Amino acid sequence: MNPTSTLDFFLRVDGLFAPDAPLEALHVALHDERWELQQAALHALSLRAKSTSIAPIVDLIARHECTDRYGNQETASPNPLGLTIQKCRYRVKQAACHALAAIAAGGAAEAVQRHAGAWLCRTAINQEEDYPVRAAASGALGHLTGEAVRTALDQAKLDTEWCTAAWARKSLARMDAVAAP
Amino acid sequence: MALPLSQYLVNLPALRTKLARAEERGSRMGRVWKYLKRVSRAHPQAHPWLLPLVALVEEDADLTAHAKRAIQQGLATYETVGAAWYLNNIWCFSFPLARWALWFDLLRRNGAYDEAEAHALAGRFLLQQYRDGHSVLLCKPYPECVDNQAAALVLSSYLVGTLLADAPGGGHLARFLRAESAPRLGAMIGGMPPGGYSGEGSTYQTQIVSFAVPLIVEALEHLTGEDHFARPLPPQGTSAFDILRMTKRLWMPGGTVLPWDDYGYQFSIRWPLAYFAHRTGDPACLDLLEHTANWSRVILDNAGWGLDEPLWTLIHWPESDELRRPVRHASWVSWDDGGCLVSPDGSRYAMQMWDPTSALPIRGHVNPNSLIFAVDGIPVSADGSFAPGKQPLKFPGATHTRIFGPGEHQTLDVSKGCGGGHNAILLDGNEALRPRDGYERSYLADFNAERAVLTGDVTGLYRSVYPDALCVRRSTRLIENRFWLVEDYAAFEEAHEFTSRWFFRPGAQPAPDGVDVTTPEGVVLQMRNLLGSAHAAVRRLDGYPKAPDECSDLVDFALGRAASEARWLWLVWPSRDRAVSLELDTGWRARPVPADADGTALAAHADRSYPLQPGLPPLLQADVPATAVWGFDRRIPVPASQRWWLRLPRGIGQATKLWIDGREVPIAFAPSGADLLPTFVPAPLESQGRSEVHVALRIEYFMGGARKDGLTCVADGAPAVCVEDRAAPRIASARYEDGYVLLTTTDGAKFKAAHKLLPRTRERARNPVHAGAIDA
Repeated sequence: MNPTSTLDFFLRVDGLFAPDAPLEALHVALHDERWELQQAALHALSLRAKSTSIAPIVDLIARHECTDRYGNQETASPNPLGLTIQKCRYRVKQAACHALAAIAAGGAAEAVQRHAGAWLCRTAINQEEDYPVRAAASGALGHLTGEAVRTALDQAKLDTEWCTAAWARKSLARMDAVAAP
Repeated sequence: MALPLSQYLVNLPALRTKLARAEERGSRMGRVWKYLKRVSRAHPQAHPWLLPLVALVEEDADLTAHAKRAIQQGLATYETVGAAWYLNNIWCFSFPLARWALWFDLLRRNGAYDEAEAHALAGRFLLQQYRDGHSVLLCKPYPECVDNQAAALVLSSYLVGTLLADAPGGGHLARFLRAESAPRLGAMIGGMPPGGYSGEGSTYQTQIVSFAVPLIVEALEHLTGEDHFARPLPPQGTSAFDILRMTKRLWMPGGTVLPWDDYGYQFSIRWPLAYFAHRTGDPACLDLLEHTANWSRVILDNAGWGLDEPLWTLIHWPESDELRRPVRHASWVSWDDGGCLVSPDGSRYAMQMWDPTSALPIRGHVNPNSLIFAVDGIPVSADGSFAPGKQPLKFPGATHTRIFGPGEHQTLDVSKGCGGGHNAILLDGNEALRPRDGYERSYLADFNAERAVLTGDVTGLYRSVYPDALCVRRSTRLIENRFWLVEDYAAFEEAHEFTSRWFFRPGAQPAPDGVDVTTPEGVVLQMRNLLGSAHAAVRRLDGYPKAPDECSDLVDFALGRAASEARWLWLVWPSRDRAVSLELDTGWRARPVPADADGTALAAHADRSYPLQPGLPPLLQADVPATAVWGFDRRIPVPASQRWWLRLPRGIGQATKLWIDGREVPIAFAPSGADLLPTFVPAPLESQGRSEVHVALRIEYFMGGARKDGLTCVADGAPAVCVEDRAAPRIASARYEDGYVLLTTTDGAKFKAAHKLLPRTRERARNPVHAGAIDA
């Protein structure tokens, strides 16, 4: 392991969380070949919760949807920690769900629903996805509205994985609370 | 300015003073501290977890260099694992990583690192926690998810984020971790069930949850400046006091913890007791630390998925004056979970459990009013998990199918977690008894410590499976601190086939009107049926539970006819078939010996010996060489009794050798139980007619590093000579008549106890927890 490159990498990640980091720099980081930076950029975008981030996030999701579950992207990634992570794609998708949830909660729910609602619905109930992704998608859906969302959550709450089912129940409760007069 | 978190958690100047004083006084704490220092210096590579604090307290440059290497290696291990088992169990790695970060932070604040080194290491800790641990934390719903995993992850993100926020290069990422985890800290305590029992069994309660709780309390108090120990916290109003008190309650007389989960009997760690005593001054905890805790294991016990528990124990163990002994054992009860009746001297112990469970009984089990008996600190009941490769319980219908991981279907056999795997009432041969979701919770129906009565109502659990259930209760009473009465009552609308099921350690034999159990240690439990069916069907189960014996005896009492109502009234009489005639805690000659030394060699060097006994690592007893293999010898008087035994310490590894008069005597080790219980060696025939014999032992003590199953020795408890106790009273006659239990024992003693049978109604006692000798 090269300590200098690790430190450089840390500084890159750390810099993404700086309050004054330009939003554009976070969007650019979504294109980095290292999944860890994509993940960090998504979490940093969650803190900003800007609707202008929806399109870059949806684009990133589309790129990841094209890879297989243990896709080549991560094995090709130069990994400064010297780690061979087999399942990394889910980290990015999970973080994408969190970012979309934060953006929706920040007032852009309609835009999130329009651009990513269908994907979130599919993902919450897709048993081929890793459970952290299903759970995060179920949590994000709680900020959206509509029958399709409710149908997906009704199914997700029956998930045999506890976190997913619990997030789905929370989301349904949130939707009910919002809908209540 | 407030102290940095690491210095708040570990007050080094105060700790140095306390440990120096303890060493000077030669107290237990002082001896443990000296022991940890000695093994750290002698074998630093074998004790990476001990090094940072020992180096800091001792201000030792050489140990500091070793500690820095240990931190580097600890961090590198987690950075490079990356396998699925690592990612799927990240809390097991995240929590120890956070403690390595803590030791790193203490060392850096004490000048052990230059700025560039500190910068690089801080960055690596932060990256590691962020990338692997924190993303799984975000998966856990807040505040709903409260368990050992969530607690470990919350604490890890908070510790790493807070500790390194002001480290060179620390900053934005650290603050992100801290900000996201801080709001969750309180819920990890306040979200626990109100009784303080996590529901994950003794293992997780003692070794994970109770390892995290003191750190969470300290973190909250550092964050807010307010006392959080006894404060009820949202969402359920549970406090750290509640959780740690329950952890203390799990200790049985004799020092093992309840087999209240999937893992069975085992030893607990010491830190939760030390911290509870630190905050409350509780004399029972201090007594457990001084006299019951198994200190031979102090460098072996893995807790919080690391080996730094002894350091935390020393940090919080309060100095105390001589304890007034004996400290009386106290009965306890938890409304939703269970309760215990114990005699003040601890010789009679019964715990009855009715804790919440589910249709997926993996860690928490379905144990409706299951009872655990222990006599003189020796467990008599059997419970736990299977020995590796064995599954003697396989109940029809006891499977659960789930999707675990993307698209991966899993079918689990949960037999050992079902009602049929416990001391419970079964209906219609349904061993796979499991409640449906949303069942009416079991509850405490009556408890009175003064009258020593405990009743649990588990009707709701049965009703979720049998809608015609009217009442299912068990009442346990301890009579005159001598014996128990156990009454089961089950009433249903329809007729059923009822069975009263019991699991005992091997040694059960059908007896007239019941069953007799004699454990390998000579504890005898006579169980006599005063009402109900008495025919005992005994079946040996090879491989269940794993400890102490890798087997048990399943005893079924079938009612033998269909009925809508069943009632059993049991009289349970404990005794021993042997008694200690001579404690062998002194008189030994001990010396380091070669690993292959035989009995003759052991006796040959009396001039260079130490007066130490085998039942505690020599280094914990005195300032002696830090070597593993020791020889012990002494002469012992041969008892007049025809039958006698040499009781060897518990925890002796299978590498231990015994010679009597120069002839090697084989030791019949229990498969798994040699860790938990003493081994008894029957006297050799050659000793008959002799007035004394020469006894020699060769023991290889565990000195750190990887544990060698079966061989690792953590000997605990002095040897003793035991003789057959023919005078111990047994049951001569017992009956229930006109509302009284009448008992006569073989020594002519008579007991008469009024006993009112359980009613058919399910009235809850208005105030079931009465004053009495209930614990804190």
